[in-house]
Amino acid sequence: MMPLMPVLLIVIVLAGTGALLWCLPALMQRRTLFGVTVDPTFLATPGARGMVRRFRHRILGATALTAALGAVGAWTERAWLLPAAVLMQLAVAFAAYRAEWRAALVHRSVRPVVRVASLGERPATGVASRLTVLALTPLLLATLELRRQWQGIPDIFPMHWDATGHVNRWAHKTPLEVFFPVIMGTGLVLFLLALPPLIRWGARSPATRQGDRNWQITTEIISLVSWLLALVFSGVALTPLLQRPLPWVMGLALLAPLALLTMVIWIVVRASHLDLDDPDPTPDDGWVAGLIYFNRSDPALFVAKRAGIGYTLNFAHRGSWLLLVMPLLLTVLAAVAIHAGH
Amino acid sequence: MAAPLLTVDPTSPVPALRQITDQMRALCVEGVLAAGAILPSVRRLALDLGVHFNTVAEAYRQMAAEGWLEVSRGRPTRVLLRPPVRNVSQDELAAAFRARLRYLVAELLSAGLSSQRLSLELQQLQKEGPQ
Repeated sequence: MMPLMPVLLIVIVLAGTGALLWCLPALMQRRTLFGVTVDPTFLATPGARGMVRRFRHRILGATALTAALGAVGAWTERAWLLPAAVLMQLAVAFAAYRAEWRAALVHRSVRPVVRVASLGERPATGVASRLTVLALTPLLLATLELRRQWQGIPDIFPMHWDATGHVNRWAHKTPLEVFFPVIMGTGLVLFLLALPPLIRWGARSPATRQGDRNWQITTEIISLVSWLLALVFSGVALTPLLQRPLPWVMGLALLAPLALLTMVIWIVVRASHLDLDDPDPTPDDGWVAGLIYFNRSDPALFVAKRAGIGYTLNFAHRGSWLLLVMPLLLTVLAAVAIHAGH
Repeated sequence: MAAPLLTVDPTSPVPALRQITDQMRALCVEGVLAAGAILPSVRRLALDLGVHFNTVAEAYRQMAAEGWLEVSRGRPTRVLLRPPVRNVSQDELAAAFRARLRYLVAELLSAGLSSQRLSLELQQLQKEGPQ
């Protein structure tokens, strides 16, 4: 049987990433072009449009080429070609972005960075965080079901299947291995749950309507992602009872990239009706290639992104490195715990 | 009623500390910052204005020294009911006012503002200001 599923998967992932990158110029703040502040009138000129067109052509070319490479890799079972295709797509996208960023620097204009702060009370958080809390429900239900049916779990059970449906990893009936997907899922949802208050603590209060919308959209995305992860991990957690992957979990895992793509398109459509200009004014000098924020004189840990919607870290803030290292440390600890269990 | 706002322009030749204290004092004098109002923490205001924490802490200290704010460790900063009467004579205050006004007028005239317009602005300010 031909390995159609892996081919389909890699093509979906690369096409989804390509679509996301294609949308990038449309998601820039209104007064910026590839992360560089330019005169708003310049954005309507053929020169600016040509830069966006050139970037998109390169993204389309890179996506088609890497999708073909990935498909060949999956078809011929050369596993190393898959990450190589993904990395190549990202490398070409970065090179294309950098080239246009350099071209945009010629048209750079000065942006007034006047910051406004309210002396009143901060507005209350929206409902999105409460929706994220509710994402713990499926994980809790999966835990209860595993406890209820503990006796029915065999001593050794299949834990992982390859794309052709063959078991390639087995697990033992220990609390750690049985509950590992639930623990992992809960950890991820708790991390996502902690993100909105952390961003609120470390970012400037939204002083404008645009800032409010940026915050609202960010929390909505966090809620959506936490629900997606909670459902996938709850389904995976039930595999010791069924001895085979749940069809809906497989479906969800396949549909996740498509869902992500749809979500981005939806955000682009919504954002196009809003003036997302300057949700948080930051100086041009603080940005490296308009993507990475490094500003020692800014006490903020999070700042609104220039490319896309949401927030990015201020890498000059020590807390940003702590935030990056912490999930890595937790992953290493989990791996060590499982290894010690064996 | 919308909450009062503070702005800081990092490109301005006026230091951030001065920008903050000037605006806060004006808001207190005009009654926009009502007595008893709780102000944001030093950290929050510094973050929102993109300035160092010490700058806002010093601004709060200066305003407290002038009698406009109550600043105490572990408690939120509050606007006081009224500034305590300071033991400074009217003549001394008027002299300080004249000195500052003189520099300001010189700065604006050298920047190109006409003396007629300056006079109009002063009259307008007197009309709008606290009675």
